[in-house]
Amino acid sequence: MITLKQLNKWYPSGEEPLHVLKDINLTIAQGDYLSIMGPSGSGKSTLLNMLGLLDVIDEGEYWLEDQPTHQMTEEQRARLRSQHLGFIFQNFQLINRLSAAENVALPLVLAEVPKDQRDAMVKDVLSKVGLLERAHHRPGQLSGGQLQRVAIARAIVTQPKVILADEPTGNLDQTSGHDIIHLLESLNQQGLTLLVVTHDMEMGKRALRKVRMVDGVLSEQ
Amino acid sequence: MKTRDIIQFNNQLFARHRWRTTLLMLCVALGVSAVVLLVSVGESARQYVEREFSMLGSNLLIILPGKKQTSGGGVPFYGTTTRDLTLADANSIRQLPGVRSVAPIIAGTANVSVGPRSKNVMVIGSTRDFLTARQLSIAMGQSLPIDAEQVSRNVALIGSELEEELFAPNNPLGEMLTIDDYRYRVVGVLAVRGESLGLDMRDTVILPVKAAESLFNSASLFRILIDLNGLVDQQKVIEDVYALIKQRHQGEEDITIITQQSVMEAFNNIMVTLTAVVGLLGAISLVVAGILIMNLSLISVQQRRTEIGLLKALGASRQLILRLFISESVMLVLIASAFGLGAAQLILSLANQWIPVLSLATPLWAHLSAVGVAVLTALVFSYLPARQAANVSPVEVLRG
Ligand SMILES: Nc1ncnc2c1ncn2[C@@H]1O[C@H](COP(=O)(O)OP(=O)(O)OP(=O)(O)O)[C@@H](O)[C@H]1O
Ligand SMILES: [Mg+2]
Repeated sequence: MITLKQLNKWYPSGEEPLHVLKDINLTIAQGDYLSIMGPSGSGKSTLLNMLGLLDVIDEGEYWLEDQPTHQMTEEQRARLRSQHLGFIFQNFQLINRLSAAENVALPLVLAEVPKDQRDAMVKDVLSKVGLLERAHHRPGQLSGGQLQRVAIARAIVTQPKVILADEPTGNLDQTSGHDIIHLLESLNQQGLTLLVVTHDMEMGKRALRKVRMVDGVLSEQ
Repeated sequence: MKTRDIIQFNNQLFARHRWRTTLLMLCVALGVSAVVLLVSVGESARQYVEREFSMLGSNLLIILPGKKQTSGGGVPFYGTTTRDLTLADANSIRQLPGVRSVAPIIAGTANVSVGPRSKNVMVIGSTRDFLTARQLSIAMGQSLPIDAEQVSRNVALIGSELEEELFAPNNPLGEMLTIDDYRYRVVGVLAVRGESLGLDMRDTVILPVKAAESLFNSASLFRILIDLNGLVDQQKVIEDVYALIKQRHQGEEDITIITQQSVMEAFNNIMVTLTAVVGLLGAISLVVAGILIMNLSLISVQQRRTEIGLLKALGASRQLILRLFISESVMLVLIASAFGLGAAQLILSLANQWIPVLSLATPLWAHLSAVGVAVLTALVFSYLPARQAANVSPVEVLRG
């Protein structure tokens, strides 16, 4: 469902651009569980941004569901993103003034899903992550593990095909980290494609496919 | 995003940034009420003036000696020798069809004295028709003699204030007053009537026009007032008067006729312009509010880059971000405008209660234009921040 061909990315820096991703080739199938590991600054997050259609690629091809995203406009990519992709961030990225339920509903609100339908979907995913009784709490009233579970609920509420997670356990203690890993893996077992950038050796090893990024070069083990 | 959701989203933002929102709303509300209040004052002044003018009666023509060049055209060769308007001219105008009455006026200032008391006032020589045309009535005594145009009788009417100053506490009727070397018997006192435009009749002496001719030793009239019959074609009479005077003055059209209507229109124009200018001054305060909105919005865009990145990562388009930021300002301005209009109405009704003569009222267009300008300001000044927000890359979500 995902194919990267000879993908390259440069960041402008000083006189010579920084070559962050070098000739990346990668094929990901529906239901894959892929961990991306590697030293800091090697380009893991950059790769995930490319996969998440958050940033433009400079060279090469990115096919998502047989669609050439490298030829698309920003608006087209935004639509594709909201249809197929779900994001989980290291620092959760919940909006503090909104309740847990409102945060989870946000992608549906943006996609103009009718309110009653929306409420049912939010309730469903909140119960999936075990936070139904916290629906009306603000992020400030929740623990780190709970926050990440709200974020996961938000990521899956649109029923995407792929979840992209950049160090989802990076800000969590070990126990909550484990919970999150198990939650993500159970979603994977239900058919969701899972792409995880992680420093967590345990999670890295548990993945079905392990890729390593060193200095912008990708290698699969 | 649906409109209802946008409204809710903005409401949550307002609630989160209570202080910022209150400050902005205060500025906009002040601006809106300033526009409404200033326009109300201007408009009420205009209506007041209009009321005053309409008391002159709409069928009134006023003849001035001399040709007023209203259409440029350089210096007229013949206009240099202006012939005086005389009682004979007035009499001949009276024969024209459509003319109901004619009041010749001689005017000047003179020192009026009674015993040791004296005062410099305006002295008007005219006829009974003058009193009718100016809607003046007699409070006590009688009016000018009917033969004011034929006989120089030494009688006088005096204004209420002058009566007070020269005669109080005595009854002035039948008493004598002196103007220059002439002595006149006071036969009547004018009723106090609100101020009348141009001349303050409370401080005036009115003589029979013949008597004034003798007093000023001149037969030249200051004005002729013509009262027309109700349904007559005003323009036709004006042409007739011009033709008549031209014929009487050896072929020179050396008078100017103004209608009560034209004076009123000219004044109205001035007042409307003045009101607009004053309203514009109020609008400036709205522009200041707009600049404040822009500045705070620019800061807010910087602070919310991560959130904007998140919205984009979750599927928000550029268009939507643009709409979100602009609608935020417009909503804020609309709410603030409602407060501003309310405050203005409150102030106006309090002012009317304390000083009823003001009778301040706000025309609908003042409300509409105040809110219109406010919304326009919001649109203009939120566009730049909104565009900046729309340009935030979804990658920004990772910087938070
Ligand atoms: N927007 C940017 N502009 C310029 N350089 C950037 C930008 N984002 C990342 N970089 C650089 O690109 C390189 C790769 O960054 P990236 O964030 O992908 O690394 P990473 O593997 O995720 O590291 P970490 O494990 O620390 O998160 C780094 O050298 C970084 O400094
Ligand atoms: Mg990273």
